[in-house]
Amino acid sequence: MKRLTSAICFSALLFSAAASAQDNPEWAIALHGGAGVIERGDMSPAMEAEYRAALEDALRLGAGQLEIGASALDAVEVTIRTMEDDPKFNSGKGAVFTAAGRNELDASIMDGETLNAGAVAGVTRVRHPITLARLVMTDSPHVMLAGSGAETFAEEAGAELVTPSHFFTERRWQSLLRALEEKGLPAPDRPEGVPAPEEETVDDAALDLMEREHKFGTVGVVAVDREGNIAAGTSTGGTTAKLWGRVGDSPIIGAGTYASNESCAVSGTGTGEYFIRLTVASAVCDHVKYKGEDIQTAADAVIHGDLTELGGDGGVVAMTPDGAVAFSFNTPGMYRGHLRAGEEPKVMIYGDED
Amino acid sequence: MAQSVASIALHGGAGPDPSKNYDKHEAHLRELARDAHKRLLDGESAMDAIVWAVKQLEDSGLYIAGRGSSPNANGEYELDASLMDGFTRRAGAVAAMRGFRSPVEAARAVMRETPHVMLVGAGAEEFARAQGLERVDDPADYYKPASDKKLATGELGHGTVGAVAMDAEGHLAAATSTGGVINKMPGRVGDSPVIGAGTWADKRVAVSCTGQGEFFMRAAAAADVSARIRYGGQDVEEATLGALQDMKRQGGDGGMIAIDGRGRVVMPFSSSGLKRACVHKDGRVESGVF
Repeated sequence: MKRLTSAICFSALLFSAAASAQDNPEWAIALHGGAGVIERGDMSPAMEAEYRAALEDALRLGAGQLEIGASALDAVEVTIRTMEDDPKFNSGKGAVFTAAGRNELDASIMDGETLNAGAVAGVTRVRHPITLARLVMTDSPHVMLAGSGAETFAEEAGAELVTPSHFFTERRWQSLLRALEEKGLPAPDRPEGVPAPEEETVDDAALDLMEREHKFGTVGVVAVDREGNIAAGTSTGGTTAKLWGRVGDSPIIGAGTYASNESCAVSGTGTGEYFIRLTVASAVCDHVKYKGEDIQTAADAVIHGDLTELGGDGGVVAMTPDGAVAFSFNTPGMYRGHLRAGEEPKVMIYGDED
Repeated sequence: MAQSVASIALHGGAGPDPSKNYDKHEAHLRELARDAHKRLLDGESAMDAIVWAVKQLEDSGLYIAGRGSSPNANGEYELDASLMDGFTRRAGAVAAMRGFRSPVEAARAVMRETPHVMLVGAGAEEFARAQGLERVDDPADYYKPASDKKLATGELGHGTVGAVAMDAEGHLAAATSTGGVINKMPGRVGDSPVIGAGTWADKRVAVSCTGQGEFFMRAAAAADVSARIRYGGQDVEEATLGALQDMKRQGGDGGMIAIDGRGRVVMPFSSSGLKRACVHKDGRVESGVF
């Protein structure tokens, strides 16, 4: 990744124009489905169309909720739930595998009105980690629960549980086997209760792309509702072949997710360790709050400034309570889109789209 | 030629019980701060000095960290720690880790030996084993809970230890370590192992927090102190007080120790007190509990 960064930075800078409206919309929603080395020609037209349709469907789902008066928090949750169920994205079903052949999922959500927040890390049996994160926020005195303790809480709080095989997809499994072979690590047993390998074929080109695009695949949503409240949420399966219970930025309030009505709502995707070391999400909000910058300037300062200087890759989607949206990323592409009241949905993948 | 000044601050948790005497804790913190300061003047790095100091705090059994931790609702001892090097901005953290003597040492190993920042639960334990870190083989014998306080439902605990330092090179570092309080929910991760919430260090400031951790997480409190300095033009005193006041408005309290890039130490708190000690860069020792 690193070798590409310097060449990409300049073009990415050019392509990160703000999508701010003239008048404040009644509501707005924006999302990302992960950033990475996603370039024209990598995907078949059919595959690209599938991604664009999935992003648009997710936007319309959240927008429909906002239109009928749902809170930003509800819109964020429902939109991420549908992306968690979509095997194209690295969250929920279709999440990447750990080196031990498990799906360990992380998510967080934050309410910009109250600064309440919830997060879960390393859950393996919860269909919708974003909903469990919201339950941690609403039904526990805590902000973050990890591992088996989080799953015990999931049982008590009534979150939908599934068998771990629910999250299995053949292409993620093949991707894990390739990653482990490259690292010289042993391959785990194929998980129980999943289809036999020959029932689904995966071509190498698709795997190549997936490894590049999903090196830091994540989904994230930000929204502002009719009351002017904002919220942000992020959900991920982490990184392929991750070891030792590694937790990235997605479940860390301040790193992968942040929301405050005083500043902005942010969801990040990228090399999580760098996002933690820079508290990327809250740093974007700090630029808005303390420096009075517009959201695009703030997002670019953190992504093209601090993150790029430290050697990290990825991007953010950010929104202010007036409905201004910014995407900023230093990778060639990021699955992303926005939809504001009275407008058509806008879906983008490559860096040269805006 | 390195400057021959350094400063260090330590804390042993916020929210002391006003009916109790903490002379022993204060004396211990003063002694440790002096020893750590001497190490800094002898040329030890801020990172090495804070890890050394936090290990002493963990091993003492006087505070709710390391040996003084209490079992959670499952009767298990789950510990958290994090640290950050202000010069390189590298960081390490472990959360909900059982069975190892020094969480802060495990956090440093995560920083040094992995590409990651944070490891949790069984995975963190597997890593610590592979690193050969010192184990706690008999928890019932080793742990001597420093607090007998049981949390009411929904109540948030306060116990933590932490250290911040500026070394003779002018580099900053921060570390925080915590055990648990009785009946803590298994898997609960507070602010202590979260970079930006309980711990932060960059070239401007090093911060270690203690208090009602959930409020520190929502505010990304430790990183907020740096943002106030960097973007808000505040000094370290205004920045830490401002961060604590914002959390007080949200209903949360606690304390912080912080050192800025010129070695200025502050130790403010919004709770009933903060067990604390520091050695200022002029060599003056300061300590207190309430």
